[in-house]
Amino acid sequence: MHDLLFDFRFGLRALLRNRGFALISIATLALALGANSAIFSVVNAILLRPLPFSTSDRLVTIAGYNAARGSRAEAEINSWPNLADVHKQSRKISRIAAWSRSAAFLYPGGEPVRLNGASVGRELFEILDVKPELGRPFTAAEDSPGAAPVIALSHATWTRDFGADPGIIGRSIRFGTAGKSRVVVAVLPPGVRFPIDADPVDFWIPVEPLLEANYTERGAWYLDAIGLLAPGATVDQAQADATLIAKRLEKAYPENDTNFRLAIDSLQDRLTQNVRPSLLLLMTAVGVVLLIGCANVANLSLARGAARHREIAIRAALGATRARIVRQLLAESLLLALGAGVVGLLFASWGLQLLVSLAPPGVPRLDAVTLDARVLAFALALSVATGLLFGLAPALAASKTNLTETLNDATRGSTEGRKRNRVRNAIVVAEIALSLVMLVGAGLLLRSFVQLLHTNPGFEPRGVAVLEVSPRVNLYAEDPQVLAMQNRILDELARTPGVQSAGLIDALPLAGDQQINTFTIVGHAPFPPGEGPAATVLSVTPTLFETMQITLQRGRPFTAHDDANAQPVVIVDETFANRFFPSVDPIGRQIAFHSGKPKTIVGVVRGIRFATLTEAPTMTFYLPQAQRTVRRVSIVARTADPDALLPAMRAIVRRIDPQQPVLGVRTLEAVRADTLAGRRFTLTLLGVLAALALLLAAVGIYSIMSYSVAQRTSEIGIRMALGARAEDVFRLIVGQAARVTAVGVGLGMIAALIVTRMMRSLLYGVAPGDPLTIVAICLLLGGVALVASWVPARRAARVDPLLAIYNS
Amino acid sequence: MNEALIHLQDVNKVFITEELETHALTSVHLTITKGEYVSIAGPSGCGKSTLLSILGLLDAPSSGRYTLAGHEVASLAPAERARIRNREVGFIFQAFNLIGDLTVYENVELPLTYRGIPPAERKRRAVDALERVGMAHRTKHYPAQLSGGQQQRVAVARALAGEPAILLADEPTGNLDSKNGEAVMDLLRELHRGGATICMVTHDPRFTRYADRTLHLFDGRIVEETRQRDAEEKLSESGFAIA
Repeated sequence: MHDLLFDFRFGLRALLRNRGFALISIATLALALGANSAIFSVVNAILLRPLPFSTSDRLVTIAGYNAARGSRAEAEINSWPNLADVHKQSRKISRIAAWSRSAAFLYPGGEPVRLNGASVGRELFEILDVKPELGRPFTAAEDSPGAAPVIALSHATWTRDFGADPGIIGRSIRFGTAGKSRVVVAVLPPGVRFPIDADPVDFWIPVEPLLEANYTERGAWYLDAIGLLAPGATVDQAQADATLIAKRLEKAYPENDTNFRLAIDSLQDRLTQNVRPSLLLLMTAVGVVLLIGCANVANLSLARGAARHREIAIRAALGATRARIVRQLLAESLLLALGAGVVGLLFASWGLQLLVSLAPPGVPRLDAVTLDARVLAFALALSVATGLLFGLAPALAASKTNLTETLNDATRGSTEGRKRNRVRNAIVVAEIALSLVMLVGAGLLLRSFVQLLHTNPGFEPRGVAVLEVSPRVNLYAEDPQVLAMQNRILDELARTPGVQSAGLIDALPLAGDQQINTFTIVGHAPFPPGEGPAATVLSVTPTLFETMQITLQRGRPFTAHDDANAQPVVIVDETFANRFFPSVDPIGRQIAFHSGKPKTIVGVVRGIRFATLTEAPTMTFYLPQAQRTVRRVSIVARTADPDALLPAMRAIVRRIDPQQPVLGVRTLEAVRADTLAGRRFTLTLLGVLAALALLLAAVGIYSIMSYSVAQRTSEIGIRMALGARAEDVFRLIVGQAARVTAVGVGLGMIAALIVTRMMRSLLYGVAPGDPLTIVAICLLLGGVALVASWVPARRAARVDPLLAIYNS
Repeated sequence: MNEALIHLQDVNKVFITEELETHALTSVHLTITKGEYVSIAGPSGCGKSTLLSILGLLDAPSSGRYTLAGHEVASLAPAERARIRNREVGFIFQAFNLIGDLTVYENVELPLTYRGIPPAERKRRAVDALERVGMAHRTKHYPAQLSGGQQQRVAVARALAGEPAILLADEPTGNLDSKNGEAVMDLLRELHRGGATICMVTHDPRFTRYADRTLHLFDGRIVEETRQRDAEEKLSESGFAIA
């Protein structure tokens, strides 16, 4: 122990004597360790740390899907009757609560405040093991059809909007656009959030009273569900059990449940499934940056070790064993790494704030991202591992000394061979290879992103302003009133200077809202139960197609005559037409939803990418808003400067009804940008890390070439004495860099071809081994290597042969 | 009259530092004719190596004229100096100065590669030079695998391979034991007998006798010039004889 302390003390003195080396090493490693700690903090908070409920490890999601129409990954929602059956039959899931996201207006001070919340089954709080701070959970009576309306408030809502009124329990508050009253029965403790990926969650209301007709409708899928595993049960067991239940339901209810499947997943896995690939990619990327940083410091240490050969030989001559010398040198490496770890944590704490502020919407649990004990332990372990990683090879190399040779300076007569450079060259080769993998990864993401930017969604998002509005129920109770209010907004908007056209759509493309309905085609052979096609159904006004520039390919657009009294009509998209009427004109044919009246196809429009930019257009039906009136809609207006129009749109609504709340006011371009935010975030981070890797690799090439030039000064002098011109020497050094780079690039290309296959799910419109990207990155790295070797090569070309020879 | 290969006229070399002005060579006049074997002797610091560096175009005089093989070379650009050095001068250094990463053959071939000579011709010349110094059987060895004497033979072969106008040897025996030193000097004498022009710096009086003429430098000036016959006479007067 005493010896070890002595090694560390001596190591500290040695580092203080070589402040330049120590500072460069600490700065390099601190950057890499800081990036690792920061990204690990995010991974820790999102992927590793249990959910903030005592029952976290037993929470599962219960999601249904139709195997003929979708995949398990797309499973999300259920119908109430199916959930009730799963609840009754499952032996592995002891409790189930249905829930659905909700947004509503509260009127705490008379003015409407838009809040986010959820409609939840009364068992939710038991499942989450959450006890109210004030009041009590929902009762069975409150969570049943026709019950008196109640509400539970979040701690934040209670304090912010109700001044933490201790008498809030039992108080009746105005709630929703209808302004109906709900009685507050509970205030939940601070920090309770469900759904976990929503931010904030301000209230909870019972779900069952809202089910209405869907209480018995097995085909109406719109409820999420959370379950609590029975004690001792695993997710796999629950899945196996649920699979049997689904089969029984399929048999019992073939009309609705043919091809019905259930997906049981851990809630934490389900929550993070979208961000997991990106986070793991980033974690790998920062790991690679750390390896490159280690390589650079190892190279510096090797050079320093070479300069300390004599000191080490003297130690060995005085009786130090090789192990003791290695330990001494490793102590210095560990000191450097630990120092870098501390500085890295500082970098990480700053970087985390930036990281969280840049994070795209929809990343769950970002507020839990902190430098906690686990992150500190990770940073410590990583620092020690880093110290060993970059210190071991130099320590072993430096400790392997030939005493006689070193102490007698027996290297006269010829220049020193390049054997010692082989390890350094190998390290730089590894750096270049790793950088190439990183750059190819970033390049592929960049190409995917560019492809997405150029992907035509089937409509023109530029130049469109959007305002979401849901006419108040108490003032606009029936469909005609709703329609009249919406049409007034549209009329006023159309008259606003600069507005080219204005329309209405109930669910905005790329905004995440989507209603899918199964349908039948009149005259078409009936589809087998459970295998009927489904389409996105949208309510629109006639001018919507013109406003969003959705091209009409055949037939006619809707007109003002397509009202509630007219024959029901529908405009289909080309995806539907191509599938069901590839060689026949679909105009005049009819489709029907469930038991509704058939709707006649009057037009065919171009397909649009509705859910995401990456998914090809799926079947979409447009119905006249006058025939299928939806209360909550998006008003869209085409204009040259949509940002400038937004205040005018708000003003129009306020003029029509000063009490009418407006929701999302934004541009359609912003909506599209939001769908790309996650990719942009990953791309930005990976781009920054790849640039860091490239910089470190360039520094690596520069330092190895500088060191090589210093080491070869005598050789260069001899060559010049023998007639080599400055350009010959320049070529010699650049050629050496080029050879090292070529080997690194070759190995990196092979590694990139393997590694980028794992990125497939993150790519769009570009293959993992995309030759254009790989060639471009190879050229980039080659160029950087050339630049990095330029200065040492020029220095070499200016060597004075006389000095080089006689000073050697 | 013999053809002058090297002609220095009033050559001076001054090294200027911030604090000091050192006159390394002062008003040196020197002519070396083709086929001559000249040695330069003198105590340490007298300017021998500086003179050899100027002769070998590794350095330029501060003033004066220098003509090498008919070319005025005192103030050439570095690239041109390198070209002439490569073609006209063969160096033999005290420390051999072979390149450790190159084999014996590659070391000898190296100056030829800077001249753009085709590979086949390079090979012929390199092998020929190695045969002349008796090292043709060691072509694939690395310098570290050779004795000091063998390394210096390879260095001589490297100097010969370019078929230079003059061989410049800077203390060629300085790093060798007496036996190997004698062997290298014998080799230089043989080359001279074969027609080579040699200019050698040495501080060892035993080896000046191999030269036709010895220039004695002191404080940067040529203070004496002795011909071999005079030297032999001096030696015999002192009771020594040349073998």
